[in-house]
Amino acid sequence: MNIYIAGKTVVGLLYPLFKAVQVYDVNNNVVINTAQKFISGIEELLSTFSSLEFVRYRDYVFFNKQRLKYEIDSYANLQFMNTQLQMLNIKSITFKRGITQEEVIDFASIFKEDRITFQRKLAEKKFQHIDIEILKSDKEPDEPIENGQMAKRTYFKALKVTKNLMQNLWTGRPVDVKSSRRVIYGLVDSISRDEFGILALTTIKNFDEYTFNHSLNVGILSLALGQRIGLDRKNLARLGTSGILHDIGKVEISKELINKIQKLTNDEWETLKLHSNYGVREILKTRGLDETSMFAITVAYQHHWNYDGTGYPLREKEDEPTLFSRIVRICDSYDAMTTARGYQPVPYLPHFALRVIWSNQNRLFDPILAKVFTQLLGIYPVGSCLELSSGEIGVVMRQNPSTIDLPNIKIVVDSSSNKIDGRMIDLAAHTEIKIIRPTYPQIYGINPAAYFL
Amino acid sequence: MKDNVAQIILGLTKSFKTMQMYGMNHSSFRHFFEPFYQKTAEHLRDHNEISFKVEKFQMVHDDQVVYKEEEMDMSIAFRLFKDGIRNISFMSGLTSDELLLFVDVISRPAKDWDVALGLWECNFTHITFYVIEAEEVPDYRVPDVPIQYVDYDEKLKQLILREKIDIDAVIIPDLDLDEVEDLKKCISIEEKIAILPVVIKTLGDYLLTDRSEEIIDGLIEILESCVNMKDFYNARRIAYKLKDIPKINFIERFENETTIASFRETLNVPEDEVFNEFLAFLGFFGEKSIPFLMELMPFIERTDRLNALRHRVAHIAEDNPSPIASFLHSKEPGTVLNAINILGLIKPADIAKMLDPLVIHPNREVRLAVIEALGNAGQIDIVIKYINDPDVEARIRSLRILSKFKRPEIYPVLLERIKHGSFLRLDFAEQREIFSVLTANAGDDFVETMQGILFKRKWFGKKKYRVMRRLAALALNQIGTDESIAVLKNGMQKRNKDIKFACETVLKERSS
Ligand SMILES: [Fe+2]
Ligand SMILES: [Fe+2]
Repeated sequence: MNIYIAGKTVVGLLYPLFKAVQVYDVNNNVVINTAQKFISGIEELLSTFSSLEFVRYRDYVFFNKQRLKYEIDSYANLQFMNTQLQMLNIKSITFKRGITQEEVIDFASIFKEDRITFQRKLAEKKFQHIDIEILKSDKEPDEPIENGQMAKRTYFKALKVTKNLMQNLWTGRPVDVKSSRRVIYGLVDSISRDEFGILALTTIKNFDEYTFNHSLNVGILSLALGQRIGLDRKNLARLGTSGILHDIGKVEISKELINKIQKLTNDEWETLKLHSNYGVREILKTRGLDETSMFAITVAYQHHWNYDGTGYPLREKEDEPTLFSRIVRICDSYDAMTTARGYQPVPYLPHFALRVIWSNQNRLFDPILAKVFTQLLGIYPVGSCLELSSGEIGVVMRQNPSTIDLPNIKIVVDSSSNKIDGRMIDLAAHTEIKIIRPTYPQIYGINPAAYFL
Repeated sequence: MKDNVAQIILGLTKSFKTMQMYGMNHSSFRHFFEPFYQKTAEHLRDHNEISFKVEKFQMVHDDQVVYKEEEMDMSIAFRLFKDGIRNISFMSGLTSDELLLFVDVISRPAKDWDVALGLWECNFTHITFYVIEAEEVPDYRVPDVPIQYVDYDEKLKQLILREKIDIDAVIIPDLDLDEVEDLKKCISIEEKIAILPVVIKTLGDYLLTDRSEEIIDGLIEILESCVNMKDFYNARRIAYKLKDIPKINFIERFENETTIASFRETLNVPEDEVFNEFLAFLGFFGEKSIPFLMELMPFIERTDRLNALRHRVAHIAEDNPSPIASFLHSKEPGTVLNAINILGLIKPADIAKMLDPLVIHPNREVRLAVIEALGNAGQIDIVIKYINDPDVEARIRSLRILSKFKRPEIYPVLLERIKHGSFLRLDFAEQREIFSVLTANAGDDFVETMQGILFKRKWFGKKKYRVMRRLAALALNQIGTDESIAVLKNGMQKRNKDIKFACETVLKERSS
């Protein structure tokens, strides 16, 4: 068995074990069974490998010195492992031959604890066949800027570059391609370090400069979805560029038409639809024909193609949108629905927008991608406003990777309808607080984006 | 370990300097780079990674300054720092190629070169780095939202109406195993297949509604790179899309000696598909390319491919074969052969005139080709000249062609020939061909004459007469008239064993 598959296997065995211990008592049969399964699984691997060592460095998890990749079927497990190691400040865990059931259950149980308790209990237990090494400092190694701050810098830099790019095209001035290439890699880095950090910033919408924020948001959402399905960095860079440039063809259409509030006439609608074609031309003009451009060209042309063969520009039966185009199709719709526009002064609640995407899988959207998109954003996507059983209002700050309907929220309105800078609550851990329903932030004069800045 | 790190840094510094001075292929660079890689790889065998914090003019490892250089142009630290890199790590598994590329990227001339972008675009597996945007976050404040009543239930009703969705549908976004497999397949396809065909299709479709100059230029640009890469499959698809657009000549740029000479590498590729795509693409080429294509032909190893290319060129020269004719005077017999062959395929009206000077060409192969070409073109006036060629093969081939045509005037000529004493010295094959032509152009006295040869000992000495009887019997059989068959039947009754045998043999053949 190769190291990579072995690593994936062990991570796959650990995840249900930790989950079982979180939910059940240590004497419960479920716990005992998962522990047994874990033991027989790793004993088998230990006949090939002399030890099974996990090391966390930055956001990478290494198994026997091989870096484990995020893939669609191991994403949740690996993400869980990574977060646990980070939270408990663990540098490495090594499993050795001869591990017992009692040891395994003890080991899994202390993972429920907070960092301090964990370290105390670890010192008490002294596991014989499991080595756990704690990091000397609790800071990530050599990170000069904290992740959230980094995400913001990246976002605003990207916004500036996107805006410059489109404005220069609009006015026929030369375009700085280098800086947009650089920005993409910044976004890819940011997403791979903490997908929720930068994802949360897509709640920043801009009524007056819709196209710039929209373009960037689609780029970021696409990157997050692309990372979830396990695209490598090179492809993420292509996908992100394609996402940002998907509507670039709009620079050839008059601003009056793009911003028109009244219902469009048929002719106007036909003109607007041409932005898919124009996008091809604009990308050719600005970027030439490098590999990334080729991906962006296809996405610009295909991003209004539906899964069932409908959409525009017209196509032949056998023409299918590429994976990137199908990703952008979803992210584009989601961002458009959740943004206030001239003809849509009150946008869809993120929760509703997600349901529209869910209900239209197979018709408009690739069903598999629609599912992964739902896993990514959760039932109540980041930025959602929720009415709670406590009478308070909370804004969704980030998802819980394992429970898609119970996010982490921040209380922003108290039970007497006062705006407050309230506490953070993990709804998965505080099941006494229930979500009543999502609500409109306008009712409280709230802009959810403000909580991410 | 400290020693180790110091040596790694020393290796990096020396490699960086020699790379800048001499480039990566120079022995001085190699001299420092090899041990640098060895040291690094050795260190990584015991550790997962080696990591350096990057400050303005120095690099720090384990809280120790391990590198310091304050001269901006010379400072590795500054080069990394100025483009926002704040940390560099090498991970176990690092390859020599990766490290080489790393040194290459960081040592390129600094002006306009973004080291961070350069490193990003390398997509390293075992080198990671941390980049920050130097710019501060602008003082951005989200716009205030005025308190505004929104009727939730009303909005929900509108939504359900407009989007026709089931708002209470249960959402379980887990993928089953098949879906995971499907998705993985999609990803690997996206990663592996070239995007090129999709782009070509897209640009082609675009042109259907709008013949935009940028799009045409784009396609031509792709076409050029396809031709450079010898990707004739895609080249042909592009050419097909461009061919109906007026006023652009997209093929002219390839109709030159250098480009066409570069096709040499495609001539003998193992895959027939590749060669056939190449041939198909040549279909778009014009007259200008003929001389260069002719020069390509001697490099083809396989006869079937040579023939296919000759057909292609014949097709190109169809309307005006004169460029091909000019190669008839080449000093290279191979080229002359190709030219003759192609003219034979085109069959221009004046082919006889073109080939006439070659009848006495000293090269036998050339003469054979001329016979073949003229035969194909039905130009037998010249072919007749070859029946006296010094080469037996040439004579036989020309006879074979002549036997397919009716030219009564050659009957008496050949008749004289077989009566001549030299006839008996010829090979049987040639003798047979001559009889065959004689039969094909039979005069009124044919049966009578053959009968004479068969039964009497006219003209020839006794010794070889058996052969003559056989040939006459064959000829009588070949012409196959009642009269001639009667002669043969009559021959079967003769007492002369030779006559009887010759007649019996052909009649047996006939009845079977
Ligand atoms: Fe669009
Ligand atoms: Fe869009």
